[in-house]
Amino acid sequence: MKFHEKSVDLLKLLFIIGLLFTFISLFLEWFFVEVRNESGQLLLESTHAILNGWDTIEYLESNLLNQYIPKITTISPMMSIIQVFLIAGSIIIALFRNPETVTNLETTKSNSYFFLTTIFMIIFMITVFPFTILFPNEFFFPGMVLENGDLSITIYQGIGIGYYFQCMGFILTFPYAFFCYKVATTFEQHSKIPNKSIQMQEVKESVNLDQLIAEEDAFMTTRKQEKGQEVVDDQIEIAYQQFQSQRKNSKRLKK
Amino acid sequence: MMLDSMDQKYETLVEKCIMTGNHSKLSATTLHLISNHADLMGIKLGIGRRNPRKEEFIHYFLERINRYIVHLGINLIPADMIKRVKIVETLFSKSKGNLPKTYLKDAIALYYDIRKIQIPEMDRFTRALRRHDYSNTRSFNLFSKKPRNGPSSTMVRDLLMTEIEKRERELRYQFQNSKGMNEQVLETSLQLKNIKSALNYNDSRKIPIQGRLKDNANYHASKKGRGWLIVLAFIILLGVSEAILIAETILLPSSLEGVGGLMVFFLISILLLGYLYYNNVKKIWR
Repeated sequence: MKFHEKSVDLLKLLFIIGLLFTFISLFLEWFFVEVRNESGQLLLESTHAILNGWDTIEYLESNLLNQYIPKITTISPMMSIIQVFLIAGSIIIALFRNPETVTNLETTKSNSYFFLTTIFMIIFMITVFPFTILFPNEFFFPGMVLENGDLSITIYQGIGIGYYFQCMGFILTFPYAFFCYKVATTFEQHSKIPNKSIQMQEVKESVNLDQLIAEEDAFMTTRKQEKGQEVVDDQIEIAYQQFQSQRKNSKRLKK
Repeated sequence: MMLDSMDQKYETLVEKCIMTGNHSKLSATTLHLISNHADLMGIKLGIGRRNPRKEEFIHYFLERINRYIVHLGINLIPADMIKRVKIVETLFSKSKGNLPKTYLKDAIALYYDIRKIQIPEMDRFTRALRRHDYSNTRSFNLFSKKPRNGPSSTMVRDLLMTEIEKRERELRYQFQNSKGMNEQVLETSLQLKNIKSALNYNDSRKIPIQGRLKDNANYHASKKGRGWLIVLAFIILLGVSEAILIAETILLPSSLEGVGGLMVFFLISILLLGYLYYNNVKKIWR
C-alpha cells in the first residue's frame, strides 16, 4: 500500500492527535522561571499556564527577589475558551466528515475554513504569548540562563512543555487543514450527480412497462365483460398488421 | 439482457395499446423510452442526463451529444434521426400527447433505430486512470502551483498536444472508415479528449467534478506530495519563531547575544527545508 493512497486517513489521524496536544497544552506550563543560589538551592519558582496564569512559589522571602516575580498576569481567558471551542468543533467535524466521500464539496469548504480558524488560533497563541507575557516581564524567548553576580544567584527561564505541545499541535494539524482547504478550492462539484450505475438504473426504472401492460389488460377485460364479446376495430387490426410486418422486416434486415 | 426484456415488454405494450386504441399512452411511452435512451448515452459518455429543469428537448440533447464528440469528425447520431426526433417531439407537444398514427409508427421505428446506437462504458476508462501512476504524466498537483510558463513546460505541453492531435486525426480516419460503431476507437478518442482538457487546465479555473471526490480520476492523480505538508508546517513554525526572535532583539536588545545563534540556526533551517520542499514538490509535479 503506497503512502499517498492512505494519506488522507493518516493526515486526519495526525490532525486529531495534534488537536489533543493543543487541548492538553492549555493545562500545562508554558513558561518557567527558577532562581537558584550558588549552591543550587531553589529560591523562587514561577510557572505560567494559559488557564491558571502565573503560579509563584517563594522558598526564600526576600525583597531582592521581587524583581523576578512576574507582574503581567495572563492572556485573556476568553482566548482559551475560544480555542477549546474550536478544538472541539474541529475534532467533531474531522470525525464525521470525510472530504473524499462527501457529495457536496461546499461543506468541505466551510469545514476547511473552520479548520483554518483553529490553525490560526494556534499560531495566534504561539505568537501572542511571548509578546503579552514574556517581553513585558523582561523574560527571554525561548529561554536563557542569567547570572546575577551581585546577588550570587542564577536565573533559569525557558518555555515549558505546554508551549512545545502547542507548537507540536500546529505541526500535526496544519497538513490536514491545508489539504481540506486546497481540495475545496481546487475542485468544484458541478452538480450533485450520483455515480453512473445509479443514474443508469434510475433512467431504466423511470418507466414501468409492466404496469402499463397490466393497465391495458385490465381495460381490455373490462370492455370484454361490458360488451360480452371481443371487439376488434378494423382500423386497429390494420394498424397492428402493419406494425407486425414492419417488425418482421426489421428483424429480417438485422439477420 | 435487460434491454432485450425491455424490448419484449415494449412490443407487448405496443400490441395491447393498438388493440385498445390507446394511442396517447403508446405515444407518451415511446417518447419516454427514446428520452431514456438518450439519457443513457449521455451518462455513458460522461456528459450526464438531459437537463429537465431547462426543459431541454430530446433533439437538442442528441445534438449536444454529437457536439461532444465532434472532434472525431463524425456524427454519432445521424442528422436525419435527430430531424425525425424533432418532428415527433414537436407533434407530440402540439397534439397534447396524442401523436397522429403515421407519426406514431415513425416514433416506434425511431425507438428501435436509436437503440442500435451503442456507446462503450466509460467506467473502464475511469478505473484505468485511477490505477495509473501519474508521476510522469500529471498535469497538476494540489500542493504546488502550475509551473511558470517557462520555455521547457510550454515546449513539453506543445509536443504532447501535437502528438495527441496527430493521434486524433488517425482515430478520425479509422472511425470514418470503420463500418458501424467502433467502440474501441470511440473510447480511445474520449481518453485523448480528457488528456487534452487536463493539459489545457488553467490555475484560475477550478477542476469540475461530478459525484464524490473519491471517484474522480483527477483527484487520484494529484494525491502524491501530501507528506511534504508536514515540512511546510515546520517551515511556517520556524518562520513564526524567527519573527518572534527578531521582535525580541528589537524590544530587548540585551537578548541578541543569547538568541543570535538560534536566529541563524532557524534561518538556515528555513532555507534548507524550503529548498527541500520546493524541489521535491516540484519533482512530484513533474
